[in-house]
Amino acid sequence: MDLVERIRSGNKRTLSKLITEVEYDTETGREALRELYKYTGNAHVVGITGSPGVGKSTLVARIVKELRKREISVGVVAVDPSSPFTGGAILGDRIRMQELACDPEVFIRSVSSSAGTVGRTTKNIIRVLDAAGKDVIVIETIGAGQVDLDVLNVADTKVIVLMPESGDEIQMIKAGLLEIGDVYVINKADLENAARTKSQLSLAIKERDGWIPEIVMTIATSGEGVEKLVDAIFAHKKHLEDSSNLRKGRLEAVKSEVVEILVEKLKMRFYEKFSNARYSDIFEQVLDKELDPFTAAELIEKEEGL
Amino acid sequence: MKKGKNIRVLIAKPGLDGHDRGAKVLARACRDAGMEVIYTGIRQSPEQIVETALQEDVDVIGLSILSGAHMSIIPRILELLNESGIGDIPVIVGGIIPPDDVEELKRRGVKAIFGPGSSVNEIVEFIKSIT
Ligand SMILES: Nc1nc2c(ncn2[C@@H]2O[C@H](COP(=O)(O)OP(=O)(O)OP(=O)(O)O)[C@@H](O)[C@H]2O)c(=O)[nH]1
Ligand SMILES: [Mg+2]
Repeated sequence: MDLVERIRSGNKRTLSKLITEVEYDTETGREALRELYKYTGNAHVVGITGSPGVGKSTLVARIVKELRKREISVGVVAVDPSSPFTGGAILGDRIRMQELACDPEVFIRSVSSSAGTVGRTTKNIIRVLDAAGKDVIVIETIGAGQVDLDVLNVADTKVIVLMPESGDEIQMIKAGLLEIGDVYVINKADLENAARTKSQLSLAIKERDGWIPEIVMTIATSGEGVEKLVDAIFAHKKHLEDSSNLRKGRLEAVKSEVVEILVEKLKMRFYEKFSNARYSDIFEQVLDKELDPFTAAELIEKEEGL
Repeated sequence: MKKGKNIRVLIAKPGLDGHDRGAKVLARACRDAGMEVIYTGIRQSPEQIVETALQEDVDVIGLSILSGAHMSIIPRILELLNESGIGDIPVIVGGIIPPDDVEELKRRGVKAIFGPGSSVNEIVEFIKSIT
């Protein structure tokens, strides 16, 4: 059997090894992605984000359980931050998901966000899981900073998880997450201030592209509200399909991906060009203040006929 | 292992006891040594451990075991690893294990066993040496 067949038939070892190749952006990984590409695009990708400790992993485990009850196969990608110095990481999201470890229709993979390319990596890991036939793919990521937004942007449905807050203003307003969520979850609804947080939130979120973000209250530890949450996710999926926004959104994503690949190639080509001595004069002149960097760039542009 | 790739270690606690201090200390030491640690917590069944190793494509499996049930649990894990086609992943064990059992487990394929006197550094160095 060739690689594509083994992936399509659900061979977990092949799948797992390929994800590693894709994660490290190897030749083998890229070659496989080329071949698998035509089998992708069937899975619905759900991004789950929120501050550390709001209950994302516990919630993901519950969501997966609910999906399995509906006989939907699931892939999970759990992204955890890693040390920028050592590259090391403790990937602990799985602790809350181990009950699902032995379900043949569930595949869970932990990824460390060491590289700045985790957005692209996650996208390609999703493609592999998608080609392997998973119906829904859930990504967990901490909602802070550009890295997480890159990861979240690959999701069709973005779920923002909050917890009850006592303050007047919801923390997430500052983080800019109130503009991007399709579904909002107030988890830990068993704690104080849940209703209050919900009403504050409902004032803050607005309709976008004909969709009013839904707010769902959950208690991930008991499973309460999770059925409603999964319904809300599917309602958003249906909205995307009906409104042609799904195609529009994915077209935008494809465009920026191809452009990104091109830019990267061009960049490499330029670096190679400049590593020879041809323009070293110009660089020296900039260093000696005989030229400014802008004029220098213009000179090179002209010289290269750009 | 591939060059430039981080070592991925699964640290799991099979058996029924809930003492995970040792496992956590090792997890942190591995992280500080630049490894990616898949930490699954306590009370893991052999099936869960092997499935996790399979899905996470780990380079090493570290088992922390105190419950005394090691002679039933560890051979079962080794057997399942072989059945799943990942018998090549080295397994190391930390815990209190009588010398006779140590020999027997090694004979069955456990790469190394670290008793209560071992330092985490020693374990980290060993993991580096076999990956
Ligand atoms: N009271 C209460 N506690 C909860 C609820 N959901 C999760 N928790 C607890 O919150 C803690 C953190 O849960 P996780 O699921 O690990 O949270 P997380 O957002 O994935 O955390 P990170 O991945 O570390 O950012 C755990 O102790 C959970 O048991 C809930 O609905 N109510
Ligand atoms: Mg988590």
